[in-house]
Amino acid sequence: MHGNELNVAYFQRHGFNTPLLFKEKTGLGLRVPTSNFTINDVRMCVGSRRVLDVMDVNTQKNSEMSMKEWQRYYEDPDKDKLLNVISLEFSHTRLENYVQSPTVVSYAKIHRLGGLCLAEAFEGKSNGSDERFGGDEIPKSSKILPYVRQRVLHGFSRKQSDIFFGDTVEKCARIVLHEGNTFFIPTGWIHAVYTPVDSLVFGGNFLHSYGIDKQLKIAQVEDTTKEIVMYLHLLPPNKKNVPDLLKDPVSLIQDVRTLIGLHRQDSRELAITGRPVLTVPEDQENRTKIISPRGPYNKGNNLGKAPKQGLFKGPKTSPQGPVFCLDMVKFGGPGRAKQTCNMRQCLQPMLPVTAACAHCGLDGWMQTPVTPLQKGPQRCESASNLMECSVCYEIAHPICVQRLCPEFTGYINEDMPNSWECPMCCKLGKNTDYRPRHFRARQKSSDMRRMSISSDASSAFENKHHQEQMSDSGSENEHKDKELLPIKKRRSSECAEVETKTVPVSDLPRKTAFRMQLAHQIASNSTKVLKKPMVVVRPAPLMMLNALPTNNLALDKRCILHVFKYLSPKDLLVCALVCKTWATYSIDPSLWKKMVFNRKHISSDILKGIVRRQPECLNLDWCHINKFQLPWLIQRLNQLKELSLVSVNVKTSISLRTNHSAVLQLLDLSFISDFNDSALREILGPNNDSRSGLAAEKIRFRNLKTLRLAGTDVTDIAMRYVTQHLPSLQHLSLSLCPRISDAGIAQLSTKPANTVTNLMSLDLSHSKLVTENSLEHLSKCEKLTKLDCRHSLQISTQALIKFAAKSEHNLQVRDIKLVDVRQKVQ
Amino acid sequence: MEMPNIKLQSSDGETFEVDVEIAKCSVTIKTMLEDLGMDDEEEEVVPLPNVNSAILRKVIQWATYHKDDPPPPEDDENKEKRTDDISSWDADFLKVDQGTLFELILAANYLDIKGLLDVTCKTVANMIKGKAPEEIRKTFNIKNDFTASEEEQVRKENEWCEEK
Repeated sequence: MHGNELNVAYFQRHGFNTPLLFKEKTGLGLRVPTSNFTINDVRMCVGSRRVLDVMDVNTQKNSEMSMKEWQRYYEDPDKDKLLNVISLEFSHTRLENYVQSPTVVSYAKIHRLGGLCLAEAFEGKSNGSDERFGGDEIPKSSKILPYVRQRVLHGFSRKQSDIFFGDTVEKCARIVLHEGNTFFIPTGWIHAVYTPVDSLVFGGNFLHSYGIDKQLKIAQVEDTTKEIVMYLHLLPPNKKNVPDLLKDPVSLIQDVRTLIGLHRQDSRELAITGRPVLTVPEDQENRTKIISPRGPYNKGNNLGKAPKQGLFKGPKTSPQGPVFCLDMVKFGGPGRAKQTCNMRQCLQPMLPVTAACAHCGLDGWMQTPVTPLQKGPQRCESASNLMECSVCYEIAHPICVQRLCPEFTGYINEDMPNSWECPMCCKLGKNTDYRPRHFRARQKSSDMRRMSISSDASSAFENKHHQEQMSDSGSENEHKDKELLPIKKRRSSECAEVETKTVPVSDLPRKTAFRMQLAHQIASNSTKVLKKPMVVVRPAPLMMLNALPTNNLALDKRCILHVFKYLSPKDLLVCALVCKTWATYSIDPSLWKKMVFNRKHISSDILKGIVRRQPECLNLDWCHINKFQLPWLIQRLNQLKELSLVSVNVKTSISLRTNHSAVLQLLDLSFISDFNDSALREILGPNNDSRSGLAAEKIRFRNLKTLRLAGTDVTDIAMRYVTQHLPSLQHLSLSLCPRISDAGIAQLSTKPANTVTNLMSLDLSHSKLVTENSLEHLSKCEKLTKLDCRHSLQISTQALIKFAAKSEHNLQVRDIKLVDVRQKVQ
Repeated sequence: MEMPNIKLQSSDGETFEVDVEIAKCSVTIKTMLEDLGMDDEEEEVVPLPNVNSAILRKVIQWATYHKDDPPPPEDDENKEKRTDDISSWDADFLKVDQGTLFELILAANYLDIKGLLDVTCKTVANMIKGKAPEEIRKTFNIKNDFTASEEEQVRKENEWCEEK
């Protein structure tokens, strides 16, 4: 088959249910780099520091590598390991310019998944069979589906390496691909890839509507196995890539599925048009959201799109909509575009010079609007006196509106040039729940502005001045009129009304000069130090024994330190006032292993006091401590083993994300209001700091053994962060977490989570959703010796007794629903 | 049954003959005997260069009285220690001048006798508790070496505890 023959009509006629191999890419419209394109070129295009997901072929384990390291590996002639980069998304990198997907793909697709991916294969043995549907290894009958189900289950239960999938199916085929070949694999075809030589492979996934039957069947398999649903559920929200416009993606998919079910018997012939049903204009490609199918619904197989997994599959979906934001590292992008968020550009948008008054038709300088090309620079000297209403967006002269509506006054918005709430809106009361809509309000005009000559002068921030300067274009009469207008001003920040005052006129340069002079005066006359000097706060120094030779044994550290151990903190502070020697002794860390601050307002003196004493155990429950103080403090407490932050501000708790603490063993985050999954992710997840050295630290709480999340809003998703980021966790409290369900508990007791082997106690008291199914999961936790299910509505004592009996740890149930180790009777 | 005796030599050369079991109140001596196998040679003298004869006599007196006490419990870091549980015998025993008291602390620390260290420290702690800085200075004959501003600084740093 020749490349030209593969067009939309072909798919419409035959569907896309068999694999297609093209020896030559001519006619396909596919563009890839030439054969002298090397790994080095890839690095040049995507950047050396780009992180790749690399899979060890023998163990099928994933790890991460930078592009630079990968290149070094790739070019190394004797490799000790077989590694494979499964995919490298290169949208928004320079590589994008070298590659274009086949014409038919750009027509057929409804939603292109992640642009093209560059897979770099390795040298070596079989890559197992990977989880993608579609493949080289093909059972040639529709009996594929039972195997798909099996495959899914196998894949997730880590048995992938035991049985070779090809052995279990009735029919399969092998396709050998050579350099320059292009191969299309339809939906639902399981494939394994065997790459005997190092190779660069360009590939892409695209969602199309020509294999809907199969997709629906796969969807059913997924529904029954639940594995993929689980996987998707676990992804953080920003990686799911559900387009903003979709309010309820789950029900959308449901509806689409129903719709397709209704039409699957329709005649296929009616739909062959040779043209795509949904066309996507080239230039808008990156901006399109998923368009909901409008128009005739009776187009047979063509209309459907079942964006089942594709819609959610985070890493592969290309960022739509706010492109620059999604490119940022913090939103999971590659961080290549280096552009400010669309929403952030220009805070002072001005009216286009061609804008005209809605009432009199004249422009901001009381003249007939002209096209930008004819506009002379002399008109830009003063500001436009047109105003745009932030409520109704009507552009008009204040005087014109005032004539129509004399009894009300408008509010000038001081935060934005040429913006106000017009008297008409005030009259109708539309501005009562006014919220400043900065740039949204000007989006249309900003599009026009791009084409027009820049009119700096229209950015009149202080309208007063410009009204004074108006005389060159406006007549004296109008000028006076304006002075009489009772216009009030308002700033969005204060929302208070300020009566306009007639400020003495001063032009801008003079004002600047005054300011400079004032600044000089202040700087030269003031005796005050302008900046507070920085004081380094150090822990108490180690003292030499008998540093001061003295006859008074009361000053001997060996004596007095022992005595101090018997004193309360309060007495110790009195001792600190006795003399310098005692002051130094009194802050010895051995005396301050535990410091408790309950319900205190943490001041900088307290912070200093804590750092000087280097406690091992710090209790800041119900304290007022802000998000700057906490990281400052934790950074300086190298010995800190226990940190209790019960009911502090949630922002303060999140600020822990900047800290590394390899020694911390206990972290209590109970009863922090509004503490949710993302807060926990911030705290536990890898550091986003891009400074070198810091980013390398993946697990920041390596030794954390106890985590308390009682009374927080965390859900099952949080359990994923717990299992991922806390390798040593032994004690976990989820008491009073009403949103934790069996799925979360299942994660704790499913390998490879470390909690399976480490977890010793779990508090599920007062849970609402956890059922007895969880007990089954928890029986897999080898060391679990304490399980608190008191006041859990859905767990019966009977089930707990059974659970206790099954365990090898000699457990008993007491206090109705508390399982723990039977105490030895003495 | 005659207990084997051991000779302890103080820093000023005086030798005391003590029951081994009593001497083993001191963890330092106990370890020394066990590690070095000194208990075989009765003639051996254990030198204690950090303790003078007056103090050593007091220590032996205390150890003899307390030889049948159960071993003291381990310290609990998290519990605030009591200081009002000194037995009347100990209280009488420790009615000595301040210098002796501190030397007993040093000796107890060096010899690692937990019970004695406890009781002596508690006695000193009771001398500090509830007093103002000036009173404490007077009690222990300490000169105030703070300047006014330094004192203010310390006071400020410690304010957090006073709100309690």
